[in-house]
Amino acid sequence: MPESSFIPQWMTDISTISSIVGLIVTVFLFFEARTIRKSFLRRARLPAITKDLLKATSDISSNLKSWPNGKQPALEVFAQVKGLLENIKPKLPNEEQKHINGFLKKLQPRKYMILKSSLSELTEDKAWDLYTDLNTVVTRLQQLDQDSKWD
Amino acid sequence: MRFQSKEAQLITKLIRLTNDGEIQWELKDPPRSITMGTNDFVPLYFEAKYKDKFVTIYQQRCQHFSPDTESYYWTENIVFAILDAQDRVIWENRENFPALFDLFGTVREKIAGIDSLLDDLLDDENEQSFK
Repeated sequence: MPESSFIPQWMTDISTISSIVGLIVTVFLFFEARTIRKSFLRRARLPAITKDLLKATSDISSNLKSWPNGKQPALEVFAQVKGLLENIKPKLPNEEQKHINGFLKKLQPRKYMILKSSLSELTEDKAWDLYTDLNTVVTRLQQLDQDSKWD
Repeated sequence: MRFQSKEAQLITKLIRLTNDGEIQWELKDPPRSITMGTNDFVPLYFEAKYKDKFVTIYQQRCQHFSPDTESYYWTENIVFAILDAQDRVIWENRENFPALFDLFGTVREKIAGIDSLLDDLLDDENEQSFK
């Protein structure tokens, strides 16, 4: 025989519904807090990183012009760009993250589906192609930086 | 994923061609189609002929009014444009695109002959150090 409770059934029902609503609100707030944190980090870091990327893009152009004399300076700046993009990527909205992932994959395409190819394998034509892509990435980040001021 | 706009590809191509000396730019006065009916100032204007079209890149200083400070201020843009044979602007790009600044810098270096200028200066320096 089931033990009878002194709490009325209607009160138990309300408690159960409140718990479910509370859980939904908590999950919502968790995602909202994460978005706000990301937005704060982005507003703090994006201007400086965009400025560094802009300088690196210009350096790449200068170094690509003297590629026949040696490709090492250009490769060093590409490595710097890779570091900067990997740093800013987690702080960006999903759409921008996809865009940066696409650029990074192009910078170091995977060999045999697993290994990343080395930057030293870049050819001059490929490097100019990446320079053009980088321009698009930097322009998008500049626009995002402008948008962030209104967040 | 495709990133590149056609404008970006064209500008990169022009940087390469300019650097390789395959396209010759000229320092000129801006045509009336660019200067007429505006107070904008064009301090440097370069033009080149490429595939039967005239491509141009120039510095443009524009005056704006700030309602907050109630004063005028100047901004500077780099503009890339394609002109027809009558100097009419048939297309222009004035977005803040990093490659535009690189193209402008490359053209300016070529026109000024920065490489040979620095070589000359360094030669003089070397001569003096040997004396």
